[in-house]
Parts: sequence; structure tokens; C-alpha cells
Amino acid sequence: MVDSADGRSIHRKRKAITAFFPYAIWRERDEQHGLLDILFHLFRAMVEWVRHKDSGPLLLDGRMFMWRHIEPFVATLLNEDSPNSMKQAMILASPYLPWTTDELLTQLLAAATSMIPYTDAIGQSVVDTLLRIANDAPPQPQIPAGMWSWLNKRPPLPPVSWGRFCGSTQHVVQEVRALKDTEILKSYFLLIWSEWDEPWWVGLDEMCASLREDFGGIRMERHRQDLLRHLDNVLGRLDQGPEHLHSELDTHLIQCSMKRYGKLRETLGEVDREAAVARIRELPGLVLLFGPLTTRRRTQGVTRLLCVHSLFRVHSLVSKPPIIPPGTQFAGGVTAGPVSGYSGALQFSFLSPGSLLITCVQMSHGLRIHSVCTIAT
Amino acid sequence: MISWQLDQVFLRLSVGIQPNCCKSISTLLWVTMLGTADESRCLYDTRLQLLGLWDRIHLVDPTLAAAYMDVLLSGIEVNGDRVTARPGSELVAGVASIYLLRALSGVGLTPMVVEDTCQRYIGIVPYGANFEGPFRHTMVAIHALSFSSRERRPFKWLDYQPCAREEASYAHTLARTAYGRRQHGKVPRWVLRFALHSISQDPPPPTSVVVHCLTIIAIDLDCDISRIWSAAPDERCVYI
Repeated sequence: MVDSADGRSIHRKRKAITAFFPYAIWRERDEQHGLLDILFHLFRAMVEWVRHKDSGPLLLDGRMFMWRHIEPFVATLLNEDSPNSMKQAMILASPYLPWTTDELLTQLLAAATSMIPYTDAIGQSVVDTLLRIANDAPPQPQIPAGMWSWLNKRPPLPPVSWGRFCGSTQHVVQEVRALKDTEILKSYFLLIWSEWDEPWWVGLDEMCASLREDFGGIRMERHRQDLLRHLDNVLGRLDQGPEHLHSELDTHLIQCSMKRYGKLRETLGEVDREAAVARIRELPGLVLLFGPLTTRRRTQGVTRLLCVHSLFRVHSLVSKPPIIPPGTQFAGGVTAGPVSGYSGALQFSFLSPGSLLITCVQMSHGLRIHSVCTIAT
Repeated sequence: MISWQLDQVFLRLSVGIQPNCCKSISTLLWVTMLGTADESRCLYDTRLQLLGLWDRIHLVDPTLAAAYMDVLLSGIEVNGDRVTARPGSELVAGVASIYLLRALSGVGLTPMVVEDTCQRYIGIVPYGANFEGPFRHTMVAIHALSFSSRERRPFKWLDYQPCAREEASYAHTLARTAYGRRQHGKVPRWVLRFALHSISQDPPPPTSVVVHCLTIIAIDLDCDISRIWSAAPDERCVYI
């Protein structure tokens, strides 16, 4: 077990440790295992110490781990001609390597990742490194588009992850948004929202904007649910306090995290409610959802139409019920019929954000119909 | 006349060299630079032999360091920022430079003596010097040590590809430099970079070079290396 004092010493000696790194790699190549694992252990301790120390601007400088003069060696081992075992070792070491503005290194890394079979450890390293590179101060190297898809693998990141820690800044959020790929953007949020790290305040507004602009609307329903569930989990774990997290996060930091994640949760909740309303406005689409409400096929059309009328009344979406002429053809081959003899009411309640419960007791053409329906909004 | 006398002294020295013979060697080195033109070839060879005695001396004497500096400075030409070996003196300049570097490593010399020796170098070679020729990297190292108080100068090892024997000797010298400098401060970064550069090579350098590089790293890691100098390179280990 390495404590924080060791982490400090290791960081102080990072140049010597870097100089030792190639030797450990050659040993690994000669099937003499163990040395590299020890170095990785030291690097993790160093990252942990740097992560938790209060060092101001240094915090975001990802080049402070391994010595930058290791770059030629890194390039050699990531090269196409290098054996896969060496590439794999370099990928595993990548979270601690100095990623500067050298675009070639990033391209070599991207090419190397495509040749190595996926494991959680490889996924962790690639994602961690990817977020670190993305966070580098401009002009950061161009990240090949294919590399971003590694986010979709959503490897479980460890409690101390430098990539996650620095990957929530404004320009990283902007960069991921610019890809215009909802799946990657969602994966990105699922990876960086964690009880172990709070989102940087400079990125928080950009995240809220993304939730409104990129995850609004009916079609984003599934993605919103995933994000809401994840945020609820994170908030739930934070709520259990520092002793549960086994982390150096103190109560103040946890409260700060809860506040920021709470803001994201609130924003997403608003977006979800707005989408629910938008769904109701989409009349023909909604009517189709009422199919299971009816017990008799003969009354399907009538029930649906009544439901729609009631929905509009309850939500005050329109000043008066919409006029749907008899004979209107709905999707599914249902035709709207006359509504004489109808009496009944619909009750609406939000079971949870994104889920609408409708209870319907109707008398129609002498039939009493009890219907309960849950609609995912 | 001088050469004959030198031969006699040299013969005696090589038979039974003693730790306290440094002053004699340094005096002889200076003498070899005073010969006439007719004697130059013979003196040159003697000078080389005298320099070679280093390997049999485990102590460094301030006078010897000064003598090496003199031999070196007499073997180089400085034209503006361009520093080259004087034609005909390439070998002696190369040998003198490596021994001077060893002397400057600080093992056995007080910082004051090193400082004085370096001041003489600074008086002749400009800070922005560019070195040419096979002794370039040794000169760059001497330069870095002499100007160590000045701002850092880019030190490139990428084009450093010596033969195995030369590299081993150089690595050994830099390991001693690291040890000497660590006693009074920290291991110079350019020495650590040499270790990184050498170990990074594929295929890796000879074992002796790897050992010296690991020694440099161990010194920087504050490991106990007191027992490693006396051991053979392939038997060395570091106690952490």
C-alpha cells in the first residue's frame, strides 16, 4: 500500500522512474514479468497524490507524470512494426505518459489501439488517455475520430482517474459535442459523472447546455433515461457520505459534488418534462398508445378519441378539445367514431420523471371500462 | 632530450604506479606540451600514454585535473562558436576530454577545485559553443558541467551512437559524474537523460552500459550505491 507521502516522493523522483521505464519494458519483452507492474503501481500512487494535493494550475497539466524525454521511446514502441505485446504495454502505460502537442504520438496510439484486443484494463487506459489528450491546452493534437468511439465501450474507470478528473472541462465537453454523435456524448457523460470526481464548474454550464440541446425531444427518451438513472445512482452514493466512498473527499467536497450533480439532474429533469409535454402534443402518435386501454375492439376508436380529449383538457394544452372529425383515420387502421354517450375521466400523474400513469374509468355505449396505462414519456 | 627523459620516468611509473604519483603525471603532461617541433610526434605519443595511466589511478588529484584541462585546451581550436580538435591532436584531445570529464565528476575533488578548473574552461570556450568531431558529446558534457550555474542548454542525445567500448567508458564516467554531483546537490538532468536515451535503445546497449545507466538512476533515486563501485559491472546490485 502506498500512502500519500510515498506519492509525493514518487512524484519528486518521476524523472528517474521514467528513465527506468524502458528497462522494465525490455524485461517484460524477455518474459521477465513483474517490474512493469511495480512501475504501474508507483505511477498510480503518484497520480493519486497529485489528484488530491492542492497544487492550483498544476492540477490540469497532464504532462507532469512521466518525463517528456520518454517520447521517442514511446513512438518506437507504438510504431506499426512493434510487436503487439509492446503496444499493449505502452497502451497500459499511456495514462501516465506525457501527451504533448505531438500529433504523431496520438495517431500512433490510435492505430495501436485498433490492433489490441479489448479488455477492461485496455479500455480504461485508452479512455483515460483520450480524455487527458482532449483536455490538453490548445493547440491540442487532433484526436482521430475513431478513437472517440472507445468511449462507447464504457470501461469501468478506477476511483482515481486523471482522464475523468480533467475530462469535464468546458472545451472537452465542446469537443465531444462537436462530434455530433449522441451515443458517444452519452457514453462520455456516463463515464465522467462519478461520485469520485465532481464536474469542473467551467464545464458545468456547457454540460447543462448539452443536456438541453442534445438530449431534448421525444427521440432522446432512451438516452435521457440512462443519464437520469446514472445521475440518481451517483447522487445516491454521494449521499451515503465519505466513509462509504473510501476516498479522501471530505464532506465539503461531497456537498459541492452533490450540488453540481444536482444541477445536472435538475436540468435533465426539466428537459424530460418538456419532452413529455411535447409527446402529448404529438396527437396521432399518442393515440396509438391507448390501444391496450380498451376491452372491446368495437370501442377502440371512441376510447382513444376520448382519451385524447381528456388529455388536452387536463393539461390545458388547448383552450378547448381538438376537433377530430368522425372518420379521421388514425395509424393502425382505427377510425374515429362518434362520441355520444361518453362519460368518464382520465387521471394523470407522473410516476417518475419520464413515466406517465394514466387511469381511465369510462362509460361508453353502456360499457364500463377500467383502464390503467403507463406511458414512457 | 625531453622525450628521452619522459620515457625513463614513464617506464618507472608504469612498473609500479602509486596513488601519490598524480603530481608526477601532471608535471609530465605539462612537460610534453613544451617540446620542440622535432619532438612533437614522440611527445604526442607519450602524452597519450600518460593520459592512459588514468585507468590505473583510483584517486583524482587537483593538479591532474588541471593538467588534463591544459592538455585538452591545447588540443582544441575555438573559432567563434565553433570548437574543433586541432588538426593532428584529435586523439589526444579526445582522450584528454574523457579523462577531464572523469576528473570533473567530482569524485575525490572538492567543489572548489572543480569550480577553479571549470573557470579556466569558461575563460576560453564560449557559452554558445558548437562542438564538432568524435569527441563532441564528451565536450558537451564538460561544457554542461562547466556552465552548470548558467541557464539550461538543450542537450540532445538522439544522434549519440558511439561504439560499444566508447559508450561503456562514457557511461561509466557519467555514472561517476552523477555520484559526484549528487553528493553536493542533485544528479544533472542531462546525465539522467543520457541514461534514459541509452536504455531506450533497441536492441539495448551492452550490459556494462545498462549497469552504468541503472547506477545513474539509482543514484538519483537516493539508493545506497556505496558498495557498487567496487563490484564488477555484471555483479552490481543496488540496495533500495
